[in-house]
Formats: sequence, structure tokens, C-alpha cells
Amino acid sequence: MNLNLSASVNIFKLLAKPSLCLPHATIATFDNLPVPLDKLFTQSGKKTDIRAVVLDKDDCFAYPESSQVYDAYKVGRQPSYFSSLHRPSVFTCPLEYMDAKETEMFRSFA
Amino acid sequence: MLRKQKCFEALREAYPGRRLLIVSNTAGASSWDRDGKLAAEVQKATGVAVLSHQVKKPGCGHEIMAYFQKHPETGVTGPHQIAVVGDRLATDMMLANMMGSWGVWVKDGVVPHQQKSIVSTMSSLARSSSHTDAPQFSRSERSLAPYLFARGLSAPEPSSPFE
Repeated sequence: MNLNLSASVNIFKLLAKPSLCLPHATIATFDNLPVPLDKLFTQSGKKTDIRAVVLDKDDCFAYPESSQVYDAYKVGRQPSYFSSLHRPSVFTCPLEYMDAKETEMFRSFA
Repeated sequence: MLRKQKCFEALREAYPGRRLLIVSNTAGASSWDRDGKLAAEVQKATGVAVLSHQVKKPGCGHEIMAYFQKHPETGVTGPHQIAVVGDRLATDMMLANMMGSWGVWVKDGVVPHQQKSIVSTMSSLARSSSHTDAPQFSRSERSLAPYLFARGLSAPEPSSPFE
């Protein structure tokens, strides 16, 4: 079993400050990632100077437990960067996807 | 004109050498990948360096910063020059925010969510059972971001220490 002690310890930080788990930009899938990544932020008027990228592997660019880049991301598809970027403000119906217990939990902390 | 974009290759080209770094809670995580065999495998398959780290995400920010300090050719002088790309809020995005970096959330992972829940739920559950990172949790976690955004919360903005 792959226990994550770091995540367990940091859950308290997250409960105290839920915004710590929020992204600055959201894309649907890995192949929607623009290069340079600064393009993600110029849209909302933020000036960034991104020089390095830390990349997650499992279920990001590779199938979980695979060492290879997921085939479709090697070959790629037509870039549709900006059409599929989700601005945080346009997220809809969040509550419907949350079960009652989770909703209650984050109501009390958020 | 349709232009095929090799997205992984494009990323490697835009962030060459050590400017692109894979940080995984499986490959390269010393408690899971004890002999570093997985990390070597991923490195060979992708041509991208895999960080060998003691603490898992979200707590390995100091190990990531130490890596970039050790490799000044990357041009990284502070966490605000780093973006963390990943599918998990509680690990990848939290890592970004705890480091003071930019977080880019890959909302749907490799397999789109809709497809995941209908077609491959059982197979992904079966796959995950060996190294459980709680697939149920990672799925319900997705709804947390829109919920918090709707409540007016936003990720803390990285700032340059020189500004």
C-alpha cells in the first residue's frame, strides 16, 4: 500500500486554509497545456516568468502505473488551448457532485 | 490548417534539460520506489529527469527547491518561477501553493472523467488496489475546486521576493 504520510499531515493545513488546494489555472487534459505555460496566465492579466515545470506522472501525462507517455499525448491532437481553458469563475454546479458528508465538512471549514 | 502538436515533445522543447522535472508519488518516491527502479524506467521512457524524494507530495517542496538550486542552469531563483502541473488537488496543487509556485490543474487526468466513471471505473479500481491512492477520494476531490471557487476562494498568488 502506498501510504502518503505527507498528505495526512498536511490535511490539517488544508482544513485551516482550503484555498491551498486550489489551482491558478485549469485545463481539461494534458494535451491542452500551452507552451510556454505563461500563456495560461496572460489571459487573466497576470504576468508570470515560468522557467521550470514540475510535472506529475500518474493520470497526468501517463496512465497510472505506466512509465510511458500516454500514446495520444505523444502523437497529440490539434491544440485547442484557449477554447478548453476553464476560468475558475465559470465552474458550475459544484454541490451536485459532492456527497452530503463532504459538503457538510467543507461548509464548516470554508 | 490542422497542425499536429506533439504536446509532450513541445513541453520538453519549451523547458529543455533540467527545466522539466517529473515529481511523482510513485516513481522516485523513496518509500514506494525504494531502489529507484521505477524512476529510472520513467526517466528512460520520457527523457525527463525524475526527482528522487524522501517526502511525498504535497510536502516535498524543499526537495524540489534544493534540486533547482543545485542546477542553476535552469535559471530558477525562486518558487514563483515554477509551475506545478498535475491532476490532484490535495497533492499537486497543494504542493504548488505551499511552495509559492503556480498550480496548473489537469482536471480530467488521462481518461476524461465521464468516460472514467462509466467505462473504466472497475478497471481503474482494480488497477489502483495494489497501490491505493484512494481512487474514490481523487474522484470526489474534483468537485472541491468548483465548490471553493464558488465560495469566492482563490489560490494564493505567488509573488516575487524582489517586487
